[in-house]
Amino acid sequence: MRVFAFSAVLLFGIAALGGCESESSTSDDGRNVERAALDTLRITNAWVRPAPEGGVTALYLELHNRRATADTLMRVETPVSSRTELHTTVLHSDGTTGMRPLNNGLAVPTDTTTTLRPGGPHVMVYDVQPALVIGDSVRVTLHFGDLMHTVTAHVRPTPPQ
Amino acid sequence: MGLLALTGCTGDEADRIDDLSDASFELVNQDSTTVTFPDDFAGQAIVVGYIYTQCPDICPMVTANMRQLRDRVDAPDDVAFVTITFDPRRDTPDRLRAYREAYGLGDTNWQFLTGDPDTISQLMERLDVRVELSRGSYEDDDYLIDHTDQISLIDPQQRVLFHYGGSMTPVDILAEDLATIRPAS
Repeated sequence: MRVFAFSAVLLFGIAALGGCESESSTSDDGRNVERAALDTLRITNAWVRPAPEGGVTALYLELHNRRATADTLMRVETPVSSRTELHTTVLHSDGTTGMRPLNNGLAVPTDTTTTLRPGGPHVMVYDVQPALVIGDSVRVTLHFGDLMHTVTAHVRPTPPQ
Repeated sequence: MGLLALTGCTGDEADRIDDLSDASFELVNQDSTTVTFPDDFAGQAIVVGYIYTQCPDICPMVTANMRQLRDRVDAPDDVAFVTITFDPRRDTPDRLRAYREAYGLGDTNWQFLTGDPDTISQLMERLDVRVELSRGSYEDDDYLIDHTDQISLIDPQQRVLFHYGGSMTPVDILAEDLATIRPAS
């Protein structure tokens, strides 16, 4: 299994909540910020579809906002691409489907779970370098209003059960 | 039962969506080998999916659904699994081959087809697949496409019997309908 790691991010002592896959977190200005366990933004079930070199893929995950305030996912970085966009999939009345960019980011309300899922909101990843093969792992960093999280996304063709 | 089909699947004229026996579309597969559709699949049931490889969300779901169907029926020789791109300007044979391999289909006889834009446009129209740019232009090579989300079933007599929502139709339904049109059935 290959792991495509992102640049080092200051580790944040995030609470070890059950099933948590969040790996690191820091404020965007580089200051570590201690937060209580109930004031966290957890990320679980991150996965990406396989893609050939130069192809596109989609990133999906679950955002559990237990902070006291709402957040907005603004952008995503990954070492396997220099271009990502937040999209949602739309279904038109004529039966066609397509993607629309979320230019203002993806709202993550407080005390809710927001799911990026097939057929819904997702992160489109362009020009993947190198190819993503089933079984690989990819580091992704999610930027919110005042902090960022880095997690590992597994390459798989279908959602985790 | 196919979502857009009429009732039953008796092969009667009234039950078919279209008859492709008079049609012939010259395409190329992922290895740049010429494929005449649907002639080259005569005698087989055909499961057809429609994608473009720059689609990260819906189109992979179509491919995954077809793959689950193929696994369910144990990849029989009397059924052809075929994916056709509706983005021939970008989806060259090389790109289709890489995509096919990324999805673990490199060792199968599942063919991924492309062709010249006019031929693909005519084929998509014939198979009721709508395609429209939603962002960008063909000139800048950086565009997104709104498209029909569809899988089709074509019987060994080259009659189009069913269209389904490609990404969301349960495999059980696809398998049930496929069983009724296989030559061995």
